[in-house]
Amino acid sequence: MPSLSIERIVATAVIILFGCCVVTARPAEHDISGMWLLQDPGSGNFTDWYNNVPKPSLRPDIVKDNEALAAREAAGGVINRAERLSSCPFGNLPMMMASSPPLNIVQSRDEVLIGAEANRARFIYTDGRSHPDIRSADYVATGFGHSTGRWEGDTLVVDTIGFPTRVCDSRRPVMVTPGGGRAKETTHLIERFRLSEDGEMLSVTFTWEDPTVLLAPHTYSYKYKRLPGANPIENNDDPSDPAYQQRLLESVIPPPQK
Amino acid sequence: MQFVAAIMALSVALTGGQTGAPTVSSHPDVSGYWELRYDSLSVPTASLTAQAAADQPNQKRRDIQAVRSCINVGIPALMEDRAALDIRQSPTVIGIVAKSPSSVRYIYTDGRMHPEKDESDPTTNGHSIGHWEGDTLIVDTVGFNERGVRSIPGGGVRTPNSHLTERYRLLDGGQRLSVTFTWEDPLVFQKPHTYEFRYYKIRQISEPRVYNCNPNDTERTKFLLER
Repeated sequence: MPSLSIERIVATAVIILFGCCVVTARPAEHDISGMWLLQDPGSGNFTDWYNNVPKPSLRPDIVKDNEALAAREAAGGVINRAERLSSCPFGNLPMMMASSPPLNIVQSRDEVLIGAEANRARFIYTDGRSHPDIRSADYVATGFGHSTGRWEGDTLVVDTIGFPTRVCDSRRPVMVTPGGGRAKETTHLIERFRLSEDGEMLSVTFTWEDPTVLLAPHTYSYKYKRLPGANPIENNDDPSDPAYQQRLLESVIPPPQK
Repeated sequence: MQFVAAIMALSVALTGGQTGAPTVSSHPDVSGYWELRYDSLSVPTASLTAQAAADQPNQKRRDIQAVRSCINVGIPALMEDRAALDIRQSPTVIGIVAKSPSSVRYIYTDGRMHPEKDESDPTTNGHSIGHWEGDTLIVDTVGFNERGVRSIPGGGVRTPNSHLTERYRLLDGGQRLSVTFTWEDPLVFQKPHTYEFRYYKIRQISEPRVYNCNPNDTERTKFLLER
């Protein structure tokens, strides 16, 4: 066993510290900060793109519910007539990660921010904290859920729970995940973020688990292309503008565009 | 074992406990939750042009209307949010998130310049670039629009011609963050207007991290319009 001399301790600590500073003096090797544009292979419209994933194994009651949703839309129920209330959950994680506005990621040591044109940020805590008790009355569910992350080598593994039971949309009053699943209070999402070797592409693999929705975990992947030098844009909607409110009332689920 | 434990303890003490996760550069790290308190604001009265002084009451009304409408508040109101700011620093970009209706603010530290006027739409937060001078982060912001809550602490208003320079510096062993704001706009200020906020670092932030603003809330509207 080596002797415990203060010189030895300091010398070894300096070596460790020096190694740390060499790392910190340049952009971190696995820094996913930047603007990232989702790569759509050419689905034609958003609905087709959203469902362009390996087919999930859905429980029969979810299949039935999807059929009912589709029937209501086919019968003309395409306008969201749900009242906009302050209690409406904001954010929609699966939609945000699948949409065309670039993701704007800022990765710090303890937290990763993911913003998009929709202005609001998603937070991934990497400081070692646990999820809150999502069954507690103090927990307010959002469409982003509660995310914690940890690094496994070159991969950021993100664990998310705590989605809302319902959302304010009369057409689809639940959060629908790609392929027809659900994100709700019983849902568990695992994402794996990984940079390509040249750092120009970011792949994110999503695995949804929820025994009340799925017969087996549902996994699919997206690829995002780095937009070097791109600047953020801002959603300039005015929620109090009568014309904007009218547009919301007229917004519809687009018909098939084939 | 005692030797290894001692080495690890000293290393953790020297590195601040950083682990294998990617880390920021060798500059000070301003990441954290930062809160304004009763003694945080040091704001002198601005020397306004006659035109800007005359417009002050109108601007207050426009600001209340923007709040009522749940429009993104933008700078300077974002930096004056009474809920804690979440500031996150990577080697190339810093993100700032407020609880009030607002876009995420991004400060680019990757060496880029401001975009040409015809290459980027103005925003409530403007376009911010930063660089380090010693332990101070200097942030330069232009490219504002005329939306949001635009009154500047001490007087004046943010306009598309505004130029904001900020200086960020950690104090008290990283427990305070000093931000000095200097606004320049010859149509608004007779001379550059400077004030300082000193934020307190806090460990946790309340969830959810957003105020879910509802422009159709009649009670809220009544309260705002009676002010």
